[in-house]
Amino acid sequence: MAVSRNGHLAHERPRRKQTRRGRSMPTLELAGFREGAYRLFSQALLYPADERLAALATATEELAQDDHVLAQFAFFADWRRVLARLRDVGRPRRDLEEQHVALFGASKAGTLCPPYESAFLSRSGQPDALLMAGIEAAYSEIGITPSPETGELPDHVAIELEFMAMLSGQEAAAWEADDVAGAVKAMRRAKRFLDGHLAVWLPAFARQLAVADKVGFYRSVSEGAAAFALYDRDLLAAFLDGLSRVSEAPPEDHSNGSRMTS
Amino acid sequence: MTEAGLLLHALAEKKGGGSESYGSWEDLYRGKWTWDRVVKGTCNRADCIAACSLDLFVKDGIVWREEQNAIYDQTNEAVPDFNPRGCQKGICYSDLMYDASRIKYPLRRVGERGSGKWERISWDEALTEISDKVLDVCKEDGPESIIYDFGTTNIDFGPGTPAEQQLTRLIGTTSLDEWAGVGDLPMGAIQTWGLFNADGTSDDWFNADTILVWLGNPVYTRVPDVHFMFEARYKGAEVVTIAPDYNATVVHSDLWVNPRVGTDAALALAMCNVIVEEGLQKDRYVQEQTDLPFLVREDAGRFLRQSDIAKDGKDDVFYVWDLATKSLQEAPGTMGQPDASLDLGDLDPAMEGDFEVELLDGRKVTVRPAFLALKKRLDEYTPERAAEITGVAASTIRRLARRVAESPATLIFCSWGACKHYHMDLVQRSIILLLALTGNTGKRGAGMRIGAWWNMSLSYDKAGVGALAAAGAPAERPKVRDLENLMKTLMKANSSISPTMPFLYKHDKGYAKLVDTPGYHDPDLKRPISEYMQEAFDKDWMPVYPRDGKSPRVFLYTGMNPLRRWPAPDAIRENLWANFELIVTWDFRMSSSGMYSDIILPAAGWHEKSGVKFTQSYVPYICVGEQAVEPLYESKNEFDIMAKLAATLERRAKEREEAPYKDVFGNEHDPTDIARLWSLDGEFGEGDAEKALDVQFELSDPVGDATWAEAAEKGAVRVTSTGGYGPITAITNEVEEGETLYPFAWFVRDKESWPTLTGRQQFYIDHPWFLEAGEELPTHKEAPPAGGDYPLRMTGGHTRWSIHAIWRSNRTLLRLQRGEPVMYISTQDAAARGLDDHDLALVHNDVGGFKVRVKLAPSVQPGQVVMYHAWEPYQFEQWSGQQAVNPSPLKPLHLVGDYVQLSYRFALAQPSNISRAMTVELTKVE
Repeated sequence: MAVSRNGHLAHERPRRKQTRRGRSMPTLELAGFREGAYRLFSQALLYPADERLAALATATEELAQDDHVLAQFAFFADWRRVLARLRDVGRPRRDLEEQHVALFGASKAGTLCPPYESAFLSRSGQPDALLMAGIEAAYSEIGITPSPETGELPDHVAIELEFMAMLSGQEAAAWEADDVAGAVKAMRRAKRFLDGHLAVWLPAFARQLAVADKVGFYRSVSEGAAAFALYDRDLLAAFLDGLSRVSEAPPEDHSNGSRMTS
Repeated sequence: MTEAGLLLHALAEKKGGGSESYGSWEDLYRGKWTWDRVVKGTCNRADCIAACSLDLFVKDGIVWREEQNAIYDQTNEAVPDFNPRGCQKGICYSDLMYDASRIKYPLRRVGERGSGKWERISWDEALTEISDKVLDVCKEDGPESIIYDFGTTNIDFGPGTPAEQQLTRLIGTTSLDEWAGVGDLPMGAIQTWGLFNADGTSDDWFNADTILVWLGNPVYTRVPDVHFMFEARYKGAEVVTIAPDYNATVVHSDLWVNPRVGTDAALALAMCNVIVEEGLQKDRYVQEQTDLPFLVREDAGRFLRQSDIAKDGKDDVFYVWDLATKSLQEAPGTMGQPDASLDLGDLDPAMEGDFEVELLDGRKVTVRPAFLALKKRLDEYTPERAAEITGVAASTIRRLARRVAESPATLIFCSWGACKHYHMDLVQRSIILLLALTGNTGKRGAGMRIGAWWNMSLSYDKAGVGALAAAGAPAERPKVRDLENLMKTLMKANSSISPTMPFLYKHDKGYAKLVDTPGYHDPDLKRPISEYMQEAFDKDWMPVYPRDGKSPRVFLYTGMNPLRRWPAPDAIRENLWANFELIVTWDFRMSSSGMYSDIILPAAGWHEKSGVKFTQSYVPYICVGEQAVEPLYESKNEFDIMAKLAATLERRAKEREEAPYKDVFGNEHDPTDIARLWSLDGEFGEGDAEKALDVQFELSDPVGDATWAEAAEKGAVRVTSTGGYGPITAITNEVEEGETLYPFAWFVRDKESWPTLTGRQQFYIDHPWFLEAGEELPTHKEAPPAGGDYPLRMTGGHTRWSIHAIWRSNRTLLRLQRGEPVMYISTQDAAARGLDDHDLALVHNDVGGFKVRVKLAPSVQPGQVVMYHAWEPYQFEQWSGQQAVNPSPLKPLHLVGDYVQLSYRFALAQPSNISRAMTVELTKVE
């Protein structure tokens, strides 16, 4: 499958699409929003280059306008705090650059907060074959692989967050196409990746950053990302649970969208 | 927002589409043991005295693991084979490759040096800033104010180091000669033999009947080779380890001899005493191969020279008393003799007796063979007297001496640990004397072994080296002494290489002050140290650049970690280091020194580039590593870094309209043409590292007709030749198919002159400084109390878990130790200081101090504490590591430059970094 090259945080879709049966479909907006949020976190944890900071600022404003979809969730308060922090991004930029290298690059005795899953979940703290094989398999399942140009390892926090953004994007596209089975498939993949990878180590990463980050920006972003991943995991769990109850748990790859209700 | 907005582009479409089988853990586990390809790799730029081929298992662009290769042929059926080779460090390099200490991007310091504040910059920004500073300095002060340090053992025998040297030569920088800066220079060997990089293959150890492991711990440091020693025991060889502490090699030995720290010369001389007293020496060998029959004037203590007795006589022609003709005869093969042959013919040089000769001025003086002076010296070292000095029983000394003398082949493994003590030259001279008296030097399975290299070409300039080849090979192999003399001439004429320790003395006031401390030196010295240093500089014995009136301004270093290694780093950081206006390193990992640098360039890791491993002669193969994966992050291999830097220098020089400038020798350098020159008229550029390897293989004799591609496919190619003589290839023997290799056959078998003043293994050095210090002959001297009046001596050694600092912070290997720096201390010394195991102690002396946990070890001798090598300073409180107590007092006798074999040339004859036997005290930290 092709990778989306759309530069927007969320796909351009109608706010509230009416399904054929005339029901409201908040899932589409929510998925689109989740895609944007994951991408925002992913980018915010990368090196604060000028262009990226400018894009982040714009994206933050866009997401702030769209965030009513989150209003009904407990995460909303956390989200607003993250947005407020992101609005300060780049002030002062020099501090942010220093902090990024000190936290995630080679610093004093190694990296203070290695932004890699293997640093937290493998026994050696190094890329572990079994763990990495699991990550690569998850990427491979939707036909993607880390781009050679990045020069980064597959378990880098930004890559895992981007992967979650892509899954959310797939889910949104499926909702938009009334492909409920496709949407469920994407949600299950997202839930499985959160359960097995991102939501397991991201909180620990955020805690480590909270100790080391003096400026506070990366601390806020990582705490926000970790909280978001946990909320998202719970949300997906609840949603999938609800689906399975009303649909008598259709098999993953043979679910029939026509049987689903929202 | 922009289209490029928040796209990471980190995930791309996978070729062949997605798989639908993100299944069970079993699938994943099976996936762990599959791979895309297996690449022949090696520890491409490791600072390790071994060469091992590894299989690298690569999947999805990641090196998962390494395995030892077993691709080496047995030399012959009588000796064991080399298979497999490797160690626990090499097979966990992939850990290090993805370690948190990895440098990912070009970094520029934005806070104080050492503050840990960096910003990420582009390659172009970094190289432009470096280029501008280099051009500024070249214009203002000349290129010698730019200091380039390529380390020693971290050099790449592939394209990296040649590319660096090509560029720094074109700039005209000062290059630091770090051999002695590391403390690896065996001055005793140089004083005696005129060279030192002489060894053979490690399977030759199997041919020994007696092996003395003396000042080394090969179980830790020669992991792939040490089995030959222990296999020799199965055929009846005796292995004796001589070490103050019960180290890991002792465990596998037949006998442990444990002298007090720093008394090894007394032990060796006592063994010589036994051999001479009991008439066990090999007379004809001594007559031919040593200077001991040479006549010495009683009145002056100097050799009788031709210039003493003949008008217009030479200073380098000497005499023996011929018992056959009962007359004075010129000794053949000395430096002043046209024929470099030691063949005595019918001469029967006297070893004893008083003889009278008439000098030019008519005076008559008594002359005697140096052997008599030696006997007198040895009288001071009876086994009983030596027992008092060393603590080794006289009966043990006698037994050992007889064993050495009577054994058909005695080999002494005396590695570079022997070079790090103040008087270690005296120890080496004594050990070599023991082997010379017993005819063991220059024999299969025998002799003192230190290390040597195959002479691979460190150039990819086919036209330059090819021009030499086109001149045709000489009909006869050039004599070693002629090559040595040529090197000295070239050195003086056109090389801004500076020996590191004198460089530090001259350019760092803090270090010089420590060296000048009177109490840290040999009490036999008659003058203040500063006077010896000044004389050496005035006479240009030690060529140090930049010259007077100019200062080092830019420091470019790679493959080394100066603030970990250099003595008293706290002092140096405040002086020389602080005065550098720009400090640049390219490295794959953040070191303690990197933290105090200004710009760091990310170098590719070992498996991310193609190269040639350190061509150590222990294994008769050239081991290579092929690039297994793309350079990680934004790193580049050294060849490409130099290509980019050369291009940037040229671009900036043109933009700035720079004029050519001259170096200290008057050579002109045109920075606007530097990229063309570096690239050999555009033949090489970024991405051409393997092309350079093709040429290097073509120009290298040791690999015969093998090409780089063949080597990369096999992982290693068997050497067919040593590659000829050179500063690091003094094997002086030929590679013969089906035979193990031993050193010095040219001198002993072929009777060619050694590259010394006397043309022989020279035990009597009649230089005035040596006579003044009482070191004209080997003797024992106590190590001076460098550090002050403290009761413990701090020694060290390499460990099996790291070579230098590279693996010191590696978590996998730290789990095999205590996980942090520790100092080994005897239970008695610990108890006396109220120290329990793992207590924190302050190790201190007059120079400084550091805090470290102690490990109580009954294996350590009372009075000794052992701090194994190369912990990173950042692993200690306040980043104050084990060098903080090291004043490294230079031994003035090593400055002498007007005596054939004592004259400085690259990697030879210079003062060493003395890092062992410092005096310290330990205080418990509550």
